[in-house]
Amino acid sequence: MRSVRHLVALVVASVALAQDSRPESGPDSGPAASRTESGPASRGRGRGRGRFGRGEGADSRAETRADSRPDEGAASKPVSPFLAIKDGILYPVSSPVVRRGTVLIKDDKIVDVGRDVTIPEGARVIDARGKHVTPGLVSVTVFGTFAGGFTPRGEEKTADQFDPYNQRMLMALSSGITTGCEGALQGGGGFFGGGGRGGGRGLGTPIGQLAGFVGKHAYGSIEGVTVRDTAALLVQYGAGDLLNRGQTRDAVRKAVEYRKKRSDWIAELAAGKKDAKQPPLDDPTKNWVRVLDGELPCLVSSDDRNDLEAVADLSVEFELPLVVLGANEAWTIAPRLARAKLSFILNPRQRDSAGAWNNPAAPHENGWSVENAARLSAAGFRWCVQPLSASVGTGGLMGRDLLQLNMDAAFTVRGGATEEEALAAVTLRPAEILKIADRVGSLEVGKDGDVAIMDLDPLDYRSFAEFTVVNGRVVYEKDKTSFFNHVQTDRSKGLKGSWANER
Amino acid sequence: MTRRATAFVSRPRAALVLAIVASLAADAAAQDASKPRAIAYKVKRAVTVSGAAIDDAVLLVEGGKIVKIGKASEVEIPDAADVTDLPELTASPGFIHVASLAFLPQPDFDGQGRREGGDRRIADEINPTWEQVGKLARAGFTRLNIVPPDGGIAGYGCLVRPIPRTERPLRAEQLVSSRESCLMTGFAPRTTNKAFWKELFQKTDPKKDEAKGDESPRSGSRPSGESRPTSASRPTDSKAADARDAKTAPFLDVLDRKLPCFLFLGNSAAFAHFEVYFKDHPKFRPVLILRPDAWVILDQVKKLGVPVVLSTSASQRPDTNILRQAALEAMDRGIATAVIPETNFASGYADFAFHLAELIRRGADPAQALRAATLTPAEMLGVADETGSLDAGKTADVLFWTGEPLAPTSRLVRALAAGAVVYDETKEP
Repeated sequence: MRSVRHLVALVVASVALAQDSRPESGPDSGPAASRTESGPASRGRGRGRGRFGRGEGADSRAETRADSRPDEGAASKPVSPFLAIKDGILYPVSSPVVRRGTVLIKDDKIVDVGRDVTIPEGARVIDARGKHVTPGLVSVTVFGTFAGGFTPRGEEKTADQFDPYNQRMLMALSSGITTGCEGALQGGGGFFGGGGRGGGRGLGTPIGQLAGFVGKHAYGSIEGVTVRDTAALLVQYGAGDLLNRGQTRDAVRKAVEYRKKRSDWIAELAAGKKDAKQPPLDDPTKNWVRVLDGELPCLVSSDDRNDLEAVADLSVEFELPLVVLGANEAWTIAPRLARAKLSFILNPRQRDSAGAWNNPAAPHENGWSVENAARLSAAGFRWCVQPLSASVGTGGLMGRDLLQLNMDAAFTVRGGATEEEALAAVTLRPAEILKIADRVGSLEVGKDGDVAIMDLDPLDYRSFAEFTVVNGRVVYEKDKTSFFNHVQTDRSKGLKGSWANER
Repeated sequence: MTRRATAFVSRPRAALVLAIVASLAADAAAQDASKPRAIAYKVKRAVTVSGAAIDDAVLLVEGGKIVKIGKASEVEIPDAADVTDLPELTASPGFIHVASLAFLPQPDFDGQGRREGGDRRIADEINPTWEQVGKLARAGFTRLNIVPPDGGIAGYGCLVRPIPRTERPLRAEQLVSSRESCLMTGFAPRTTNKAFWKELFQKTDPKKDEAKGDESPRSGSRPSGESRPTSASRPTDSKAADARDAKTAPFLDVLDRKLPCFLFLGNSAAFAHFEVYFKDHPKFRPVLILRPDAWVILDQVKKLGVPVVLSTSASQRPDTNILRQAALEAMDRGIATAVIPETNFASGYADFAFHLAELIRRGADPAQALRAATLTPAEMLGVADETGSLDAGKTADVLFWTGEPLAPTSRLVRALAAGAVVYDETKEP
């Protein structure tokens, strides 16, 4: 169609010039003609298969369809509120694997999961037979998937700056990542721009700072994006940082005292004392109260075992739940840390930044270990993983960015963790750590309709997300999006089944 | 003007006319004598845009207008007319720039602000030079809509047209043909901008007010002189009528479809955020000025049924090397599309015709591409009865080309704006 028009255009031009019409090459004289012919459209190479192979025009059209909202294709027919993902291998995460089961979503919530699910008439159906159906993955850190990296200032709200057509968001969806936390953790490890080891030794840094927000990759819509406006309270706390430690402990102590007063007040109210006054609460203390109440995660970056001991002491002293980011040396003292209310965000593939991994000359075990996650599990801890890099793009090295979040989880299995723990580490555990497990992280009735449908096991390095669903909307289809639609391997034949297939 | 009047003196008939009016005021004489004679342009071909192209055509131009157009065999050329024979050339309507920042210091559109510039007229701010005017004419622009490039209600745009260069300094008023051609607005996805638009709609959209019921006491003491004549038809008991002041008046006119309106949306995200207002306010259907990244939202734009303004630029899809050309894709979808140059400066307009040719090479229909630079913008500005195509009765805004208007090898050799020669290749230094 387009080539015909192209031809017509060229013929018109050529006739006007009273030249021979040569549609193959176009008007062949003049600098203008040569300039146009060296344009991007003539860059195509190969035939039919790859991203570069198709003609520019055909490519544009195909992509436009894929990039627009897939749900709204048939505008004339009323769209059923039901979406059924049928007959897949279900990984609910909160319960055992179902070999052949269905997830039924109504509007934006899961209304049924399991073997015996009745699919209402007219429901949109994705046939997931032989495919692996997991909750949408949750990344405790993403960078630039919502609006290309932004810092809300003044009265600005993060939600008002979403770019729902952000291509990085679409890329995250191509790995099944449906929920992400932006702005609380930076880069591959640590926050406040620094590495994790010896975290919190800097002077003059705030002792408690609200940061980040948690959102959904609801591509193509600004609705249903925000999950939490504020992601976490960031704290710096290290063995060597006396000033910060003192200030932090003072702040937490105030919050503990407030909670005591508050329970007294509630008791008085319950006893019928109507003039009982609510104790006053200032802003910094309010954040700590929310942490102690279990509403807000408190993140502390710590890798060194001395720092980890200090963090554990803080947690024990105030019964303070803390999320430790990094925790490279935690494996050396995992049983001793078990006294504290800690959970962990691990970098399973990141070796110790100081370069001292298990130096035999040191007086004790130290540095990085592939067994970190497994040993923390053995000590009774819950942990999630973060990717090597929170950003995403087609440049750089494959396997070292947000897109391979599942590989970071798989790497904990190499160190002795179970596959179930590993899958939970990119779904339910990060949801729990971010305090959003009531909405996402597992396939359960009442939770958000966020689902990833993969062709192979989610922890297999060969697997691709074929469909990704957010809020009950199909927001990514591999075959219709340029990133991986050139991958045409028949994965049901050429590849052997992975661990889950063999179970 | 002066030069042309002098030229006429040498002709006997004009001399007679001059003699008669010589006893009157000198100004009146100059004006009368300056009324140009009819000129018949005989061309190889005329691409009318509104209808089929005419081979061996004659355009009869008089008093700045096209009086007649048709086949040479069918158009009677009056004896009094001068005949300009251009047997090698093809005529087309002049280009119309529907949203230009020419003559303004600001380099780009800006949806960020929250200006309430309803009483602002960009006609008061433009600062043209003869050199710029020459560049516009050389690029084939015979009409330009200059718009204030700010966010919020940016203000009234103005229509300008190039005029033949004189020795005197150029005054902006000489170019302006309409001081209130449209209302320019802008939006970017920011909390503050959202608050601005929300407030504006609450204040001005009568539909919302009717739904809520008008509970506030009416202000009877409003001076009658404050309301513009256009507001006479509005129900005086609506809150929106009370909201009419110098700043909101143009916006109310936009909602009443009395004034064309343009809305600049800086990226596709801005469109996604503004979609909410479109849903709630069906009366507000402005022409959207979009960026090259708009290819991603064209389905929604189509559904909304609004026209768009796009530059000829292609946008590289982020993180890939796939080029998308939003203007082309919009035309493909049947969205009314006006195409503008890739830069906002008059000096960057020179390649416009060539960029349109590129658009055609990439698959645009040549007729459609030409329309996107002529008749479609005229329709957007509500001046299609006056310009935008080669039709009898319309202003003589005509370009003469060495070949098909948008063939990459064609050259513009002459341009008329309102009948006056504003560019002539042979007279260029």
